[in-house]
Amino acid sequence: MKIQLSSSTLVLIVISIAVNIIGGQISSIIKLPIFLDSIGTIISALLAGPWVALLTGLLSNLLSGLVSGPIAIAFAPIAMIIGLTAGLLARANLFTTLPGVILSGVVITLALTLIAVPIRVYLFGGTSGSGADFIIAYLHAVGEGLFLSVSFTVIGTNMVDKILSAIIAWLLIRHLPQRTRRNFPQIARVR
Amino acid sequence: MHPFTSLTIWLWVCASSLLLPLSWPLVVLSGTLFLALLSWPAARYRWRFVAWLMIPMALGLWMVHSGWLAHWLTGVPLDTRRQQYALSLWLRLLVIISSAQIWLQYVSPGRFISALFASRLPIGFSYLLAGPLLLVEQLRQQLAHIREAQIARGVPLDGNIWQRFCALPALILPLAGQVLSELSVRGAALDLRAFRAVPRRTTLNAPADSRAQSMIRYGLLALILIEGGVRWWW
Repeated sequence: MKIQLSSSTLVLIVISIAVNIIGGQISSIIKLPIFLDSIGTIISALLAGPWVALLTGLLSNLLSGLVSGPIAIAFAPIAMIIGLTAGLLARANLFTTLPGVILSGVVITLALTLIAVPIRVYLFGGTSGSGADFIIAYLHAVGEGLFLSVSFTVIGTNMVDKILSAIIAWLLIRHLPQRTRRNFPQIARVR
Repeated sequence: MHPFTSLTIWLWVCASSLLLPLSWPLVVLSGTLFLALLSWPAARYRWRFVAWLMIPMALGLWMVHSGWLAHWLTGVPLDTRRQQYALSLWLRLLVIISSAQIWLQYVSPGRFISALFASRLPIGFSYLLAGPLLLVEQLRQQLAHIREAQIARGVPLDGNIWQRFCALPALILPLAGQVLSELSVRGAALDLRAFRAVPRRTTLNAPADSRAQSMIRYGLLALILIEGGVRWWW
């Protein structure tokens, strides 16, 4: 079976990857303690479904790795699970109201935690080189397992980021021109 | 050297470092690569990125795995069994990050894009890999304009954390909204140019490649598998 993406879908993936990369840069420009590198992946999920979003997440991190360094490549499975989960939630019509979008952000965070924690523990010894390491070290020192300690910080650092990313992606799709929406028969209900 | 060849060499160095135990070869390899980065004038500025990543990582690994924190906080006997693991992990990361910075300096995004389009990859896949690298630069320039305009409007992009959170939509919504509104036009432009009508396109200024380099690439990939297999077997 040969799968061929339409030209519009190809352009959507390209734009989404660029939005992911630039989102991370916006976060550092205005010095916010969040990642903002999943907005494009969620846009893909809303417009073209979970599999295209999964591909967007994978390519985003591969290209980020090629542009800025290889750490992002190690986190590619997390970006993929974000896209897949967002796409499935969009198909379940959770992106129709603001509470649904916030709930989606929470579910995405919990789903990515399942993938992020083993990666952080096995590839990076549970550390990230950020301030969250103090919390991990403290929890680990007082007797919590490394997996649980890392889980707490992954949820803590991602919850606000993913809720905010889901809201921004939702707002963008709601205001998308009708001529653009017509290119995506798989588009999720967003209102 | 063709970008894919240097990329394969980098992959081989990374994979080999992951398989090395904590020993002199690992220490020498990591030190040599970092010194190579420092001694190459064009790439020297990249040492800051390596230091910015590796110093906090060293602190984090020390806090989590040295056993000292548990000893100080709870009074349990000092457990130093994980220190070797932490040190070897840090040295491996130093190899990967330093060599990546050397590769990034050696292969510019432009050369890599040319290599992708000249490769045997399907044209659609090449576009997926090369397109974002071309688009990001445009978005970066637009972001600079939007940022200036919002600062002129009085949006507090340098305010406290709450103000900066509130100012976030003022930056990202115009930028992403604009590029998304161009989506159908860009898609139509691809179709108008008969994109994918032929499986391969001729690339101007394609990076020079040779049969020997191709063999080196396949050889290194095979070597990675062999090294992994040997390590797994023992």
